Amino acid sequence: MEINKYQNIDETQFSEKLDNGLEVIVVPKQYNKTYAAFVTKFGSAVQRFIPMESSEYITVPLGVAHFLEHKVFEMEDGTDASILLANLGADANAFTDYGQTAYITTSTANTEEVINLLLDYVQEPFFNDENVAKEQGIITQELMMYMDKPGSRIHMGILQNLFSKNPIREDIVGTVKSIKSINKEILYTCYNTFYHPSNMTLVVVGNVDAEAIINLVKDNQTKKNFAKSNDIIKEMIVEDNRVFKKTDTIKMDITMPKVCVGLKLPYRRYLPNELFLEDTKLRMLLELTFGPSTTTYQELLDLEIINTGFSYNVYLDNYCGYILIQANTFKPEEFKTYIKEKLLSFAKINIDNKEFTQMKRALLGSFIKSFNNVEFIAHGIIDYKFKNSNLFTSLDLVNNLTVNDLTPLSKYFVRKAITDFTILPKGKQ
Amino acid sequence: MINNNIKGHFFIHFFGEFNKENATKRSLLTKIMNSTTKNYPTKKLVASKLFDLYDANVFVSNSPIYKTNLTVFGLSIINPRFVDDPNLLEEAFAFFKELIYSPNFDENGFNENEFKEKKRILRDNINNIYNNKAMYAFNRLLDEMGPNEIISVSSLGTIEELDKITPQSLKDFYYQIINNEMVKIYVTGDITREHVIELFRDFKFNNLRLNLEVASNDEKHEEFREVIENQNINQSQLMMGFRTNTNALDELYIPMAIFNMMYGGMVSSDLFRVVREENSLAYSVGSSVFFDNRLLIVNAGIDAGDYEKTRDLIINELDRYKRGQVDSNLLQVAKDNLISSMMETSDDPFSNLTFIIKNSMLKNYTTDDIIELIKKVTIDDVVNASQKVELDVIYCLKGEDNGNK
Repeated sequence: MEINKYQNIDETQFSEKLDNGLEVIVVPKQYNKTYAAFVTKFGSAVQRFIPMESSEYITVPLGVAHFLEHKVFEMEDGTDASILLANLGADANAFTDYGQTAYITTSTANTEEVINLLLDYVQEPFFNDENVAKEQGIITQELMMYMDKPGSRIHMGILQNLFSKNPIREDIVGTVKSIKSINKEILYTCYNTFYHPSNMTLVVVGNVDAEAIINLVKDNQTKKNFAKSNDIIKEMIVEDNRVFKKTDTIKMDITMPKVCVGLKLPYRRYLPNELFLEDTKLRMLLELTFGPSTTTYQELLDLEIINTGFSYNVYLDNYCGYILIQANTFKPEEFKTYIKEKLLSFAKINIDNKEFTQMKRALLGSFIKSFNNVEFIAHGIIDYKFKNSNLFTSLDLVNNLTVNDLTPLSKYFVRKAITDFTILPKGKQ
Repeated sequence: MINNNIKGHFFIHFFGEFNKENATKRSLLTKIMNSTTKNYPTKKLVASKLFDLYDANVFVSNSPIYKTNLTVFGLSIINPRFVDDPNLLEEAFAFFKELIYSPNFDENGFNENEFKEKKRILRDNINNIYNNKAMYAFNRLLDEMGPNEIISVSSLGTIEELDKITPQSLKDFYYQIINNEMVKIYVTGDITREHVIELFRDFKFNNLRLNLEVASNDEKHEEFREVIENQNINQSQLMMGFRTNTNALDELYIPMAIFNMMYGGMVSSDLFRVVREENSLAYSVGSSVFFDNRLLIVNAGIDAGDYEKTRDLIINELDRYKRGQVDSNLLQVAKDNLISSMMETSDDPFSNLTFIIKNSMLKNYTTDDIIELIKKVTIDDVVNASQKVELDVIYCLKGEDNGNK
């Protein structure tokens, strides 16, 4: 067992990699609550890979990682694991994103039983034709729910403009057609490949004794047989920074246009900590340009170019990245022009040193506050690990940044990397 | 407070009446006061100040409880021990005081530019409800259930009332809150009582004590009605509004909370099992209970063609409880889950304080009191609670029949 103490933030992390490859990480906190996340590196961006015990690439339908997330809960006798967890007083949840599927429990009692059950239900899948067919109806309704949300639609629309082939250009849930094409064989193939312990991490944060938890997981895993672990060979689609489509518009039953400008970040290989730092620098640049502390933000309001729902965000992982800036507005054309000009002006980055230092101070404060939150700690550990960084030491890296470190970001802000997507009101409105 | 990176949460509450006439004013006032102050007249200055205070949270918000409104001025600040900044708390308090007592007034009331900007944004916020179909359907249900009751008054406000507000009338309204509403201060954190008193020494408060209505006893017993509205959407929003005839002061308060959990308030609930798992009709389905207004609302996102079937299943499940058919295992699960969520509340000082404030107006329960009450709930209590529940209005915002089965 490895013990790491992080004095700057008053936290201690215990971890161990088990013989079967599973990594277990525990952070004790003096709360009633314990939060556990059991995570596989399998998300919606994975569509082509060589299955375990095979040598040929296969392509699986869109949305299969999310479909698996739903079906993993079902046990062989037909009961749902979330109900068994509820019987222990625990709350169960799960989510799928581009790069991971996470199974989560929150409990204030019976912690050992809850963690055993979490491991067992995820590691004992049962798929048959009947329960797969039933799930298709539920997931189709989930997709319909997103289809009626302007926020989801604009997100999908801009991603379809940004990327030409990357599977993330489709909803994480898949499409009506791809959902219908998923069957139990496909689910087992994906499961057997990506749910091997060597591709998974268990993080437990909360009211626990670290050593007891690690021993419990060891006991649980020793009783199970897994195939010998192999490196998983997957073909991740990566793209340069040229957008697939420059602009697009759809209509929905809404009252005010919604518009988004997107910028595509090119694929590149990152050294440890580099990805985290690049992401942080881009966030700082956006905050210092569009945030509430800026004259740009006030100008957008004064010109009535933004109304409600103004937001800006950065996404960056090992395979792809983008920046999105969006708003609800009655002046969609003016918004697009203004934001694009602003992004292109970053060809020369000019940030005030005093504002940069102030921003670092705010980041420090928000980082310290976040450690009150067990969810933040658990998912922070995982996300930073996926990005080849360490959550607990990341702030020191931010502290060492200077305003000049933002200058090299200018290379991203070129015209061919920029696109826009608009939703206009239709019908009587 | 153990193991917390927050130095403290400081809340000043103003309690006043919530009604159709003042809801929009409250909504606009909150927006404008969060934006700028007299000595920090631009958003840039306010945001810079908050950055300097290590991303401190200094805010004003408002929320209604039945016919009572809570205006909350809040300050949350990180523990200075992490950043070696001994004056942080005092500096944060100086800004907190500024936010409450120095609004951005000019000669004719609130600063005109700020006023116009916030009025425009609030108008857009109100209009935007139409674009969130679940929220739109929920609001429409409440309109249909009680057009003349407080339940149909939105705390966001209305366009009609918004048009009437001027910079001067909003300024007058600000003084009405400061001078005529009941004040209470709540603090939680790593701080002594003496230090808190010192920090608040030069804040000026009135000493009013008011009797306010915080729990509905409104009666309504009519045959239920169905209201169908059509829009060009993919998924239909089914909303079913029930009257629980039970508020947080009643004997059946906790049994009703347990009934809601069992009926549609958790993943192992009956509605989740029957509507989603057994019949594959919905992804999202559930029930929520609102004690202040004695309501229970069931919602489901469904295909238009499944409307009657889903509605009937939801009604049948309630009838089963009324006939006394209650699963004792599910009862235990509901109790364990509710107890667990009470324990989670007490983990987080902010949630815990919010809980205490709300309960101070009711029966002054602690989380431990509630846990004891939960443990005592019997099957008979749950049946009694379910028998108080009456269907009032079914509202369905219908989309297309996609045949996506």
